[in-house]
Amino acid sequence: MPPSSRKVIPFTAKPTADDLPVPVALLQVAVLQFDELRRYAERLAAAPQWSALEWRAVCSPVLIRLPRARQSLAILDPVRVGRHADTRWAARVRTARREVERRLTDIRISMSAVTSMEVSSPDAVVTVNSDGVLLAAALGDLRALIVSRYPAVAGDGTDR
Amino acid sequence: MDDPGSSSPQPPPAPSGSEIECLTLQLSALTDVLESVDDNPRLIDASLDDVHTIAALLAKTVKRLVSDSDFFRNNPNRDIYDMFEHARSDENDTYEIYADDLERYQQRQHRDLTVADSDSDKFAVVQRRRTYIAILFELHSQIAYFVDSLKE
Repeated sequence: MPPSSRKVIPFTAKPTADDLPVPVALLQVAVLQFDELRRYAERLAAAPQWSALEWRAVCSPVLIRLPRARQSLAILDPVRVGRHADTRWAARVRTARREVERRLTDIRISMSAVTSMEVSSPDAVVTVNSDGVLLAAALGDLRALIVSRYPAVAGDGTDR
Repeated sequence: MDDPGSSSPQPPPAPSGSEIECLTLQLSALTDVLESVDDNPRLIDASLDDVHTIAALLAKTVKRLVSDSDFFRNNPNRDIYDMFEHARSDENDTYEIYADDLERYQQRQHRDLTVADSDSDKFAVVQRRRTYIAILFELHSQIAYFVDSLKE
């Protein structure tokens, strides 16, 4: 009878080409966008504003960068399991990318709530602060994964 | 000019070494996936469609090799193929259920669910994920065994 254990014996034959499936220049742009958005998300997380006007001032830089962040995520589309030589890395990038997508949606909803109130409720403030922290962390994780494999895309080498 | 009617029927050829090598290469992609998700099962969520594509491609290659060769001339090979076919069918069915539950879970994350509903969604995904990964391991075993039988 054929074996049915969960033991997997790796085969040695694997794709040897480790070509980056995305042009380096595009990936650099994406990483820069992630860095920029991360900095503004961190500010959002540390901003105890209370009026709608104050919140709009602090949310606007994040808000206008959301479409570009989504475009940058789309650049990573060719990084997929089965297409990239390093399956484990590709799977981790896909997971990190999905996490960022989720956090972008969350922050959009919480910013919309906090900027629509004349005076923000404590719950709305806590939510937007928390979503800012989570978005910044998700962007940082994705960036770290990309740079760990392709250090050249870090550009100036900063890892803020 | 050849006369197709005059040639005597020939037994189908055994799969060539390059065809088996191709299948082995495809199987290595599934090996990589399983090694990754064995460490961190949640990684499969974001790559589910790609993993299913790898499994489907493997199944297609196995079927092509079988149909193009005299694989069934050897009687024990029937059992090997049946086991593979069973694992392939399980993978297909489980993928559909897992993908549906995962999509529902992700869509409902942004709604104001009760803790009980949220936990229920998450628990369903965890169970589907666990089952799907177990079936992927089974499919991998069956295809590896199939490859071995081709090499004998």
